Amino acid sequence: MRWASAGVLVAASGLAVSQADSTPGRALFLDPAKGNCAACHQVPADPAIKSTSRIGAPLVSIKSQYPDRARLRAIVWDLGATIPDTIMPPFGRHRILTEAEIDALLRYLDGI
Amino acid sequence: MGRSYYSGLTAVLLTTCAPPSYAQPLLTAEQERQALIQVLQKRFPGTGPADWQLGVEGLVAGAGTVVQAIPFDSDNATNSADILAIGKKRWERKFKDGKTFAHCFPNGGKRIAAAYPQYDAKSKLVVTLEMALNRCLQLHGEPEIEIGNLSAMGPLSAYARNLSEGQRIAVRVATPAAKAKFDAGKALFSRRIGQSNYACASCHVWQAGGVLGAPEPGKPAELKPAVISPVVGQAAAWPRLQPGGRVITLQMQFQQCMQRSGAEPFALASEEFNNLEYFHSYLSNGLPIRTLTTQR
Repeated sequence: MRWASAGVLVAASGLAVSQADSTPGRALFLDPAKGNCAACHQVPADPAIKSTSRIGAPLVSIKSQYPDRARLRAIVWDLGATIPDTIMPPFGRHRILTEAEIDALLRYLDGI
Repeated sequence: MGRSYYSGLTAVLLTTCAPPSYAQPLLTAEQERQALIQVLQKRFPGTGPADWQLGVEGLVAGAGTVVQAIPFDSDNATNSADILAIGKKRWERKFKDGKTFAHCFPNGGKRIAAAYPQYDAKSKLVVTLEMALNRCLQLHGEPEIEIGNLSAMGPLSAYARNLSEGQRIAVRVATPAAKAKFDAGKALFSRRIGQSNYACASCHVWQAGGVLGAPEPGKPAELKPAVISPVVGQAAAWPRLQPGGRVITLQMQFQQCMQRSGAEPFALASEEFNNLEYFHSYLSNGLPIRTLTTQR
């Protein structure tokens, strides 16, 4: 799985999402016309998201995995810049998400 | 530069992100097909085209660790029968000159669909079965049927293809000019497009068998598993039935895929789609035609 080489993913986590349910970032995460992230990623720490997707790796302990926020932001903005054959859409480069929306999404990811 | 599905097989590099460079030697159409089969067999050991023609269901037997079986809707026989009856009526309707569609094709139109799409040296274009039906109408002074008119073209196309039910797909790429169309189809198949930046190959080669989450209307957090089918075998089962008895053609599926990628779809029967269908159908050579299935 190419994702693994990006170092995006992770081991199992006991983290739970508490305040995430109604955040704008979570809405973007789920919105098929925006992030649509759940189409490819499972989110074990947000059990309300019921997905068996296995295109991308499960998103776990993102904040501890990516203490450098700029690195995580760069992945969301355009993972293809570092992994040319990734299937992950270039959310920033192709303006699928605005800069503010990426920030909101990252805040959600911080909680998982 | 993206991955080539030929790596390890040949030094020829035809990438997933860019059209092939014509400065490089190209593989024959059959070499291309075999190369793709090898790639998919690496992903799904113990399976082959005969399994993949069943869509995602065909991946299960040999790829249990990759794909879990999901319920498969059985064919809706009543709708299939109704649609074929409509198509048969249209097929047999006499033109103003007293002829019918059967007069335009060898063997009265039976067992001809397996050879479509085909390259027409006269027009220097790829001709799909639906285009051939319209050429027949044109030849006999009849108004053509809009390719996207599914209430008219859908049943007719389904019936014409059903006359070849069980025939093994035998698309020919016999000349350099035909190969150029095949290569153009492959280039489109491999080219990343749209806001999401997907190529057909991104999903149906590299992520074939992968499980996507498909949100349901009104339930964005409850995603249903949707397994991605492999490209080899897809062309054997068209047109297909969708819920409610809607007939969907292969090129309409191309349009849906482009929309999912955030791209403006090419028009039905456009040269781009015809070339893509030519390449795509060739990959299923040797597999039996099945019409109006509900497989994914």
